Amino acid sequence: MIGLVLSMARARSGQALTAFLLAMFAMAAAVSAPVYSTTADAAVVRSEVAAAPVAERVVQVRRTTPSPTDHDFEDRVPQVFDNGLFTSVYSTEYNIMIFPADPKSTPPIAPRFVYRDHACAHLRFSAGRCFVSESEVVLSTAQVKHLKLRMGDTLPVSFALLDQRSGEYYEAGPRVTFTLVGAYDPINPADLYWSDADYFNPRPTSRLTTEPAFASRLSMEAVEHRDERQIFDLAIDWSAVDRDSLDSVNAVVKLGEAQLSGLPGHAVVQTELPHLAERINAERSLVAEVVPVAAVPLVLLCWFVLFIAVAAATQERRLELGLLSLRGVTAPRRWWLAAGESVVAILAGAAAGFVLGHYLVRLAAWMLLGSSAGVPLSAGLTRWSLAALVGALGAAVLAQRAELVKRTVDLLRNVPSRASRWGAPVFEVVVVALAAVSVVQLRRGGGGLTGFALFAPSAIVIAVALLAARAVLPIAERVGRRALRRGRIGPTLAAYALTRRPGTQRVLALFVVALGLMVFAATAATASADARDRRVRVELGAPRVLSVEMLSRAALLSKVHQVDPQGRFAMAAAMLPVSDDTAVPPMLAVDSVALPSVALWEDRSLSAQTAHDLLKPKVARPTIEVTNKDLSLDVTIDSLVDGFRVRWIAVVVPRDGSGVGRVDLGAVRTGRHTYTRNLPMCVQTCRLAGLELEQPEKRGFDVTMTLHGLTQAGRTIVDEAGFADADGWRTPESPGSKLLVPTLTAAKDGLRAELTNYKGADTAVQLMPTDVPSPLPVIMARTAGIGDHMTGLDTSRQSITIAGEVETVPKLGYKGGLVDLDYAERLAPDGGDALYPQIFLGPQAPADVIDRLRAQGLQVTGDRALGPLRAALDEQGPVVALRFHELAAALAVVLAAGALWLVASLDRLRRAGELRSLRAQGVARRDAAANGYLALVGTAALIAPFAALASWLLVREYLPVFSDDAQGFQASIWPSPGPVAIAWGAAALLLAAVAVAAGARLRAATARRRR
Amino acid sequence: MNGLAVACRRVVHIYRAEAGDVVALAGVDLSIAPGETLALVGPSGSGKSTLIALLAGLMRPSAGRVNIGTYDMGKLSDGEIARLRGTEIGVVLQGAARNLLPYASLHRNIWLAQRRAARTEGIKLDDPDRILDLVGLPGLGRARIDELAPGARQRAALAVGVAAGPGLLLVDEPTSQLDTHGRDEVLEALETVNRERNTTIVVVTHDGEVGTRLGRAVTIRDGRVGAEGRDGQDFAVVAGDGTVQLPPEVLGDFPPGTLFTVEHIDGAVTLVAGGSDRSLAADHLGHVQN
Repeated sequence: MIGLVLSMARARSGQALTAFLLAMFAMAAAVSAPVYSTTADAAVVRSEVAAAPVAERVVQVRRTTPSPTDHDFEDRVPQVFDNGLFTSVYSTEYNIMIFPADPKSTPPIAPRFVYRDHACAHLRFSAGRCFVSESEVVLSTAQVKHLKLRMGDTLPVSFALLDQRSGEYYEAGPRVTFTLVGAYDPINPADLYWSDADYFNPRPTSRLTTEPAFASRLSMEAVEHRDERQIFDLAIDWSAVDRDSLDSVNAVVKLGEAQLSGLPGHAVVQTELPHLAERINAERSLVAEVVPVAAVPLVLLCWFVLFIAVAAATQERRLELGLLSLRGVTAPRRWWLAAGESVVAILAGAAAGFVLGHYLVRLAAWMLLGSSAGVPLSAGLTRWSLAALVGALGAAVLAQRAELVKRTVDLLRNVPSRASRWGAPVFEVVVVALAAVSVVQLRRGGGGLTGFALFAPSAIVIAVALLAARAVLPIAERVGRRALRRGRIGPTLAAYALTRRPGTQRVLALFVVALGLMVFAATAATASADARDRRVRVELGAPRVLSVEMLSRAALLSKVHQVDPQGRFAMAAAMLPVSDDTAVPPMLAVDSVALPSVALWEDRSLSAQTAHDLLKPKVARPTIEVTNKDLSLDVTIDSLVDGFRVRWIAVVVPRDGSGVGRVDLGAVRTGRHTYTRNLPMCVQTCRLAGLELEQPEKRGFDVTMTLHGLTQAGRTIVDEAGFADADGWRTPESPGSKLLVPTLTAAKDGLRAELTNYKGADTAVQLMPTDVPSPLPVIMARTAGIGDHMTGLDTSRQSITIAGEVETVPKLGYKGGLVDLDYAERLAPDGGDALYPQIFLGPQAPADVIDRLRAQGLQVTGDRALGPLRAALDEQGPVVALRFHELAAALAVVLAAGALWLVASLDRLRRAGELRSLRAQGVARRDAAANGYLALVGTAALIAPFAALASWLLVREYLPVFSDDAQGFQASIWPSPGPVAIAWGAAALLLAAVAVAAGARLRAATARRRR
Repeated sequence: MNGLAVACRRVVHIYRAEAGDVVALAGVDLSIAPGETLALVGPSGSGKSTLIALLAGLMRPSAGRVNIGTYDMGKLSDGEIARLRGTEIGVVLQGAARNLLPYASLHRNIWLAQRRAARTEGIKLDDPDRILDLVGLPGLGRARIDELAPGARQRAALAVGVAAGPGLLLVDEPTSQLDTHGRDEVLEALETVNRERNTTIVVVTHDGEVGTRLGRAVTIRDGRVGAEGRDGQDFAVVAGDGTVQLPPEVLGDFPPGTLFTVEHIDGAVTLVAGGSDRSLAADHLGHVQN
């Protein structure tokens, strides 16, 4: 029997090859899911690890031991973390002082004296070599230069301690002499080897150096010292970590914490590794969830095409099946003989597909993800493979059913299968019901894309495709009849070929599904890309953002203005302090003048220019500017109760931001007096931030007074009329009764300020010029929510008014708001440092902008740009998984093209006689060969976007096309149409090209027969 | 193997179609003795092929009874009929190629046809070479259909039909596309099978010579047994319902609606046309039983 089956396969090699190829494709598609998942998994881990800060990549175990000879720690830690996943670097350190040869010209430095495993392998020597003996030490190139040493010089070293009061290091042990043998630079200071030891980050410090001095363990022991810090940096080998071992990593960390905490010196296990592990786990879950969503329809399509191919082949063998039945061959044997040649081909194809899928997907993953991990046989792989094989065999057997259940006489008479009156509609109803159930489970089940819900995206596309295909055929029939009435033979034959050719509805549904999957994949990928674009634009806030070292807000504003006076490309920004009031969201202060030209402004309803206008409306009173000359305040103190040692203070903020000036104008005296003092810090002019009555012990007091005038070197700054404008002055905002502030009223001769009945409460007698709008305008993200106040830059309460609302604000996204930095600064008389100072750079920023900023004394500590941030997001799990969606959709379209070619070939065989007759009757070749393939493709191309749209709208929220850290960014419903249209057009064009080629082949066949 | 008797009693078969029912057989009565050879002749559409399909169990009669040997074909299940076709009823379809798997050798074709009888029913059968000898194709076991001449091809089809050693062989138009030589070879093969195995053979044919060679030719007209020829002599046949079909050459003289009186005198039947002076002496119309 096997021989007979093989003879059949040999005799119909074309059909066997088709079954072989389709089975291979189905198996490759099925295998691709777990293979891609595994490969993508590795890529995601790599990407997350690469982007993670050091603290998340290492476990650091440290202690400070009073007994340097205690090696218990050193022995125990490797035992605890001995699970094959960690590599450890041990280091020990204490502080030393190194004395220069000439102490008069060069102060001693107090570096960390460090032994670190394999340090020499990570250092490059600009002079000399690494240490070998216990009397040798190596210093950094900068230290050698600072101490004016040469290789071979001896240097005295002693243990050092930090004086907590003075903040200076001092010699705390006998000196030991070492020989300098090398001047080093780190090969890669960012190498994980260095962990977060922070050796190579130049910064001001009382050590006068930041780099350590490296030496051997014996050298360290040679210096008499007390406390010593011992540290194990345990780096995890992420390539060896899988889903299961991730749990064991976490368990080991917890075990380490428990076991080591009892050691002397308070051993501490410190790591952020669980956060990274959690993120990786989440990303892995997303990949595992999204990839099968694409693989399932591809496998289903393969089965479907296999079904069409085998059904068509079986129809061709109808007489043969009749003959077997006539000879009394038993039913099981007939099934085997009928299915045998398909089964043999499918088994061979499945084996080839297993291997092919495995390696092709790894190749694709390598090209798409730059990753190609080995994929061992796993339960998942086996499950997918078996399902694909069983499905393919099932499709083949099912495809033969229609012929095998026929009566012998019908088979012998070659009676075509009549479409079951109820079969197709029942099938369609089942598919629609399946789609509905899967969607309900997805939306209500809460289990995400698991179980039945896994089918939801593809089931919707298939359901819409089937229903649309059913609806289209009657229309085609009508078109055919109309064409017939008009005597148009070609369109008539094409329409009738469409409507009456067996399986047209199935083929149309197949095309719709393939194109629909392509549109769906492109939609999801584009929505994801749009969301990532948007997220990175919003979160960064500008094309490039520089973080700078801590400095005052005024200095930040001043230095940025120096570089870009017009605000064309640089914008100073700082965060406002976090409010104790949880109703107040994070607020960002920006120099709003530069907002239109610098910020990546996302809101269309409110432009950046309008935002600037709203944030910085013109105010009636300009800022009061003073110089360094004598400032005189003319004031009458009518009464002062409990006002011991109260003094007048003028608060000035230098324009160059060099530091706030609190200038004591003298002790307060009752009666009218003029208080005068020069302002040495105001050489470059200052802004008068306020006038204040200060009680050194912060005790409260009552005061009633009238301010008459403010002059400087004979120039009137504020006259009586100016003070009499009560709106021109303000006091600190005072919610509740805890902080009492004066009441301001206009008097004939100036501004009357009165604070009475303080009764032990705190008082704040501050008078500030109203050179900002009050309340302060803010622009809020619509969903952020804020009341009527916020926390100002000096942490004081500030009244605000919402001048505008936008969907997102730069940097803070959906959960924050903007204020003008200049105005917010004017509201804060403390002249303090900027919180998270940053400089936003616009597209017009010159290439040397960092140099220009450095020239202003700004130290750039961070530099973030759109490109790298976007690239990092592109490596996240869902994105990686979506690439598989696109790959699978492309394969589905190729499969559909193959199916079209197959159907056309069968059609050509079936219609040979018909074409001959038509030609003999004088029908033009073009009309006779009219087939409707192109119309089929065109119809599918029109329906497919709607099928994809239906699926997208129903599953969009549940398909993790875009991962987010709860900022609120979501994939948009309507992604950019361009990429979607291109994907749709390319797929439709491919099918159209195949349709045209198939049509041409049919015409050519007609011509050959004519000859 | 003994030949199987065939008995058809008032067999009616109606094809159901959307355009209307078509009566293919309108009450066929036919008896065939075991080991007899018989030709079914008649014009196209007369019902010959329908009758042979009923005999093969490919269709069930709409009415009447078909007995093959001891089997009442109307009462057998599909499975039992399939078993009969695999063992006791051999069928050779019109067109030799339709009877043979093109990609298999004659050996394998015969082997496949024997499979039901040999494997399932446990019947001991002749080996394929013996069967090929029987139909005059010795030594061609490894040949394929496309390697054979048309006459040999038809005999190969016969070999497959008799492979399972059936008691009844139904053959549809075995000589229609053959020349005289080929026809003679096929008829010789049929005669050999009949002679050596006593197989009852029913052949559907348009060829009068075949009928003559087989000894008995039953003419099917308009779904009934219209006449029968035996040993060179033609007879009208009284059907089960008492009807008799007049020979076409006689019928041509009497338009539809012609009235007769029937006179039965001394074993002779005379039809006298009413209102006419013409009469038809109908004596010697066979063994009409009153």
